[in-house]
Amino acid sequence: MICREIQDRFSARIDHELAQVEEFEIRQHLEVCPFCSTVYQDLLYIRKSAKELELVSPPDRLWKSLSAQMKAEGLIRKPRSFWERVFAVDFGSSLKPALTGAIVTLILVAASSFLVTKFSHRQPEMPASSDAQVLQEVRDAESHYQKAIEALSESSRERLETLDPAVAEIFNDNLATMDYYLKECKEAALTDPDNPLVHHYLLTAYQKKVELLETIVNSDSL
Amino acid sequence: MTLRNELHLAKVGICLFLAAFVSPPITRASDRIEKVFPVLKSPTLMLTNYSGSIMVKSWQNAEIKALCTKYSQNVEVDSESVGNKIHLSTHVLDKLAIEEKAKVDYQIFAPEESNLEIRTNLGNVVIDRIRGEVRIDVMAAPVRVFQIEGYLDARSLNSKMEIIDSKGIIRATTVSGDIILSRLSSNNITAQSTLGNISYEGDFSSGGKYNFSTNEGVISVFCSDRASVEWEARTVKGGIETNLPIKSKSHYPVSRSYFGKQSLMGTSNSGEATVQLSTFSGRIRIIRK
Repeated sequence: MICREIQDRFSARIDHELAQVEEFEIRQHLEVCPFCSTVYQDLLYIRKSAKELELVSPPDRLWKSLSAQMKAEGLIRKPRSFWERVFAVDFGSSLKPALTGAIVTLILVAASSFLVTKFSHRQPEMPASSDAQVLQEVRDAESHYQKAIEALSESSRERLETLDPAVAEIFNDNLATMDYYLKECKEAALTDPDNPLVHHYLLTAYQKKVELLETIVNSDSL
Repeated sequence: MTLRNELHLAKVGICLFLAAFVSPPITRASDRIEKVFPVLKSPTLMLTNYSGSIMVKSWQNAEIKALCTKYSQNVEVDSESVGNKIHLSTHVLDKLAIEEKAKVDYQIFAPEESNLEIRTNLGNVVIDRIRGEVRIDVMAAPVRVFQIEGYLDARSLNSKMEIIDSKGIIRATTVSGDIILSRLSSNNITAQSTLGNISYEGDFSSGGKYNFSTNEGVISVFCSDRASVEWEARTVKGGIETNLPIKSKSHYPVSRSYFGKQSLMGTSNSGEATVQLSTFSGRIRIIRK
């Protein structure tokens, strides 16, 4: 299950709305994914902090000061009805023919558009920005994973030097496997950028490499 | 005594001295340790080993019994009992020692509702008839699990994993080991491997969710014509083949030996279970049993 799917469920988890199976899956993922774990902890912190915020009433003098300023700027006037504002019936003000004409024109145009849309049977097109957004999110996730890999690589190299050679060899073989596989996924993403399955495998490959590096760093040098 | 005889005796003495104190210690017959822990209902056993076989079987007694076999004096078996949790771990004294000198075999008997957490690098793991939550994390130790119920989360780097005749929620993950799933009555199974193959043989429960995913490995599903499944198979570079009667989403029956396509969405019978199969470049095979 990729990080995006997990993070979409955080809100439900915090509200205890998840089924037992989903709860298991998320708990498992959080144990191995530092990003999602950090995001989840941040959400918990925000929720807790928000609950602890006290309601604060502003002092009376604050409103008096604001009120005076708004009157001076003409933002507060004696309230008038809509028609009074538009058609300015009092003889001290001039009529606002331009505004009136604009409003009527706007109403006519809106009505025409509505009628044309209703009876044209045309389906609105999907905005092209949703694909670009998905690609951008994939790139962002990729960037996060690359940073995690960079951070873990040095520690894992040091750890490998302290391990039993047989164990270190197993880890190195698996790292080589993951690197080869990551390379394949990146190439596939370049040749087939619109295939969501390719993105899924690419991000999964990054995730697995991070998990492997974490396993190496946390392994005992028995 | 002549000088020659004295020299000869001296040489013999030196050889005996070297044999006794300088050469590697003669491996003794293995040392067997028995530890017994009285427990309450649903105890938790956490076992950490480095190398050796681990076998856990259920029994009816309200205690956990561990028979630990050490193969050298270079290891100790540490144990701790806290409440209803038992910790057993192999402590290697000389961390530069070779693998053979760090080997300990564990044979454990535990109540069937026990929860297990098992970690080992090398050797092998066998779990038999446990109904609690089972977590296994190994590096290169083949895992065989029989007749478990409850929850299983098994992970390995290099080694094969076999899960047989079991129920409950099952999660199996390997990097290059094969995953073999056979005669399972579970309605929630996830199997993932990077290089290894995944093989599933059996039926699918109504309402069940099954998700098998590999990157380079082959996914093989063997099931009967009567299986009621909603199939969703996808691959980036591999191929898909089946000889089951699957009605595709386009309402045309899938032709026999449907092969070479990148995705297959269809239904067998009334589609009561959901099976998702995906690979990056491995083949997907859905075969009539």
